[in-house]
Amino acid sequence: MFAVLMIGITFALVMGFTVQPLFSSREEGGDVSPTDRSALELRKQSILEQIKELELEHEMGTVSPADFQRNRIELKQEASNIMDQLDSMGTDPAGD
Amino acid sequence: MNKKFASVIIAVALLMMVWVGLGFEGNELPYITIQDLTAKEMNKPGKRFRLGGNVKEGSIARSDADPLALSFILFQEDQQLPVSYHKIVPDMFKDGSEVIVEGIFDGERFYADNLMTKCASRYEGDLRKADTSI
Amino acid sequence: MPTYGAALLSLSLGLCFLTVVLISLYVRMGDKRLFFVAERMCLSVCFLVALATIALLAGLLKSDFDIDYVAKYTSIGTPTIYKFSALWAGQSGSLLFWLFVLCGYVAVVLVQNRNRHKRLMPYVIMTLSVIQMFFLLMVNFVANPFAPVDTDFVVRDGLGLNPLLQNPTMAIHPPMLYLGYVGFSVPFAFAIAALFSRQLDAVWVRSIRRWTLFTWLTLGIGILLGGWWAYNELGWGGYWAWDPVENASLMPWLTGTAFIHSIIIQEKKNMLRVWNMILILVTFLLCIFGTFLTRSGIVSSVHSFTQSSLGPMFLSFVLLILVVSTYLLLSRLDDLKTEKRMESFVSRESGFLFNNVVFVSICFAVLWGTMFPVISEAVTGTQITVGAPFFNQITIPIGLLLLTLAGIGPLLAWRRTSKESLTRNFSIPVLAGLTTAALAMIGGMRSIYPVVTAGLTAFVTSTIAMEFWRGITVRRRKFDENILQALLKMISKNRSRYGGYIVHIGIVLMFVGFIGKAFDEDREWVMSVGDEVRIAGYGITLSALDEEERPNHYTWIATLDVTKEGEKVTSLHPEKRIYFHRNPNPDRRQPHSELSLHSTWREDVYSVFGGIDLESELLTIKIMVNRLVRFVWLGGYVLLFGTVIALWPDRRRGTEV
Repeated sequence: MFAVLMIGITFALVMGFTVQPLFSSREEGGDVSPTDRSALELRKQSILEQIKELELEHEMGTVSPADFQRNRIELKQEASNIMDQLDSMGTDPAGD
Repeated sequence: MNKKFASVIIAVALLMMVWVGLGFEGNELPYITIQDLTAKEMNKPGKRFRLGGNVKEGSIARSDADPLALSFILFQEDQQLPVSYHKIVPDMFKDGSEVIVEGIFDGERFYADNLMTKCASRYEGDLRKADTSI
Repeated sequence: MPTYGAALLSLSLGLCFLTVVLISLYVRMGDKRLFFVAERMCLSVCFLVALATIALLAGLLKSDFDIDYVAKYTSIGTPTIYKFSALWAGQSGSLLFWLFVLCGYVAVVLVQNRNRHKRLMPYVIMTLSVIQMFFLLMVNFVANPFAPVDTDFVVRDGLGLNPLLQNPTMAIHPPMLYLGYVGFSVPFAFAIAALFSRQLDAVWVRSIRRWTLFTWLTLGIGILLGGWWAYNELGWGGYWAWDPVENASLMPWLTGTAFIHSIIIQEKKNMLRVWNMILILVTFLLCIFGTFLTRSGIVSSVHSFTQSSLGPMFLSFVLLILVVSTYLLLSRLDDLKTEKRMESFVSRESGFLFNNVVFVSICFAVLWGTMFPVISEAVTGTQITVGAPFFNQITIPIGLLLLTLAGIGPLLAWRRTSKESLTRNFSIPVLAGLTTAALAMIGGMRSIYPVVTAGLTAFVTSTIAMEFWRGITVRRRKFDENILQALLKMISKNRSRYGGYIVHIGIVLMFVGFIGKAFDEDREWVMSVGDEVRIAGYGITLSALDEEERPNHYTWIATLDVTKEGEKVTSLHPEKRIYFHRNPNPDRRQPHSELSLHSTWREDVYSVFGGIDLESELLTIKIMVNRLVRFVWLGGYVLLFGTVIALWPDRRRGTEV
């Protein structure tokens, strides 16, 4: 009997917790359409980090001046491409 | 460049596979039954086999002079095989225990150089046999 | 309590099913409320499973022998801590525990990503719920841990836990492995979500980077603890036997290691996107397949778990995952491809790529060797097994190749490396490697592998040391810091890089330990009190034999005095014990050899009390001298330390988890 009671209480608690959002007003999924913005932001961050790391490796002497110059130019090029793309997308307030 | 890369990687992967295949040479250990061991003509001198079975009740014998020297009879259903072993046996080795032996067969006796017991990694038992009801 | 526990599990199954339904509805209809309900439902499942686990624990601690599981794995005399660990000692309990760990992870994922990854999360929840559902089906219908005892009498005392498992290491080894096995569900779920939602860029990779590292670490520690336990408890003197059960845990670790390397490439260069997908899918499959392997009994192993009907179920689950993920992968193949190209063989990218090929090759070799008995039986009718010699022969050279790559890779430049950098970075390490190999040969090493390994460990160590040294020098020049400050600052500024290097050092130390294996010596003797034997420069005297009765066993204790060049080194006390010695049924008494060892950095003296002849008082004693074993454990600690550094949350960047 005690077990049955416990099961009943647990069930009621869980169901109460679960269905609660149903009583709020209907909310559309909003930003489910494809957006590459967060991916681009991430990419930008990653490239900036790579530039920093490359500079460090250059100072350490791990990377030769030639390799350093070539990689840096390429990374900077890519970074500015991404910035342009981000600019052209405009600001996205819902960006996650 | 990607094509060239892919082909090099595939070549490396193939090389690895060949290497793995070559590794079987001389390392294979057929896991067979007593019947196969005695009946089939797969038994060349010095060829190693692996057999599983149970230790026959009361068949474990140790020599007085050398307690390491051990012989027992391995059985699988109606088949029996005398086995010799000359090393410390695992703790779980006793009458009736399930064992795996590896070694060579001279036509009459199996000389094991490796003996493993199927150790109950889980302590499984039957509550009915355990006399816990008293 | 048993009814309550069982009811909780049924309720969870129902809710879990509903979660999947709701998520599918949400994906079609886009009503956010459905998603919120599903999210809460998923959390509730986690909560209920946790409650069920607590219910089973309560049963174990209270010795509620009405539950079959409690009666089979504990007894009144079982120490409390092992009553606790009995939770994962048996099949149904470990399934519940597995589920519990999964639920813990799921709850963390849900809470952490509440308002993030809006496109990925529905699919993540769905995938995780399907995995939960599989395990819930198991504990509800196949192996219910709350099943009542099926005897027709009242059970007064349970059977108790195998004394071999009554060891602290053994109590934490399985949960560690589970943390690892189960943890790969999360990266897997994100991968599936990325495929479903076609959000295939670096976002999913980034969001599971630290999860994967953590999981990889726990799996690694689980494996190491297993080895440690085998070495210190089982008495065959080794830590790795290439047993199918061990292999089953090693395989996902290997592909997981490949994965944590190759996602760096995707994060930085947006390449290898298909490859990363395949790797994580394979890793998760291997985790489930490993469980199948150990539970089904299709390959013979010394770890004989209960053979049961679980095998086919796991196999079906593996097939389901395989089919669904292959379909998803193929249908998204065009989206996954990038226009990025590899430029040169001598680049960091290609170093990573070759590292991956080698890791996957080792995994394949291990899989092939493990499954060969089954394959050969299907093809030829005879089961052909391959033992440790096969695995050693295959994996040692590949492992050495990997060690070489660990030394070369990090010093290559991205995209292309000029000759100038190559000479600059590698002349000292190559010299160090060659010198060490030469010294090893002069020092008496004759076989090829130990010499090569010695050279390579020196090579890799010096590349890493150079990296550290150059980094410190730069900081000292720029910021006027002392060596220690510079070192700490440098590491904290770039944790994943330097943490990674430290992990590599850990691996190098383990390889040093593996070299030792080639120089091990062992012998067995029949001895009586007063006898002296010699092995590897040690004199071993059996000086006394005592007997003693302890609470749950009877024991004979041998005293072995170990001397070297006349000086006393230590005394070893291996024991031969009989557990449950008062049990009237001799079959229930269980002999156990308690080994005793003396460990130094150079070598371990390892003694095993094999047996005793009570009439003649002759003892069988086995002595092993195992070289450099301590380095393996040290390597494990260093690996842990390095991974923790890489994992440590970075406050400056918004913590990406």
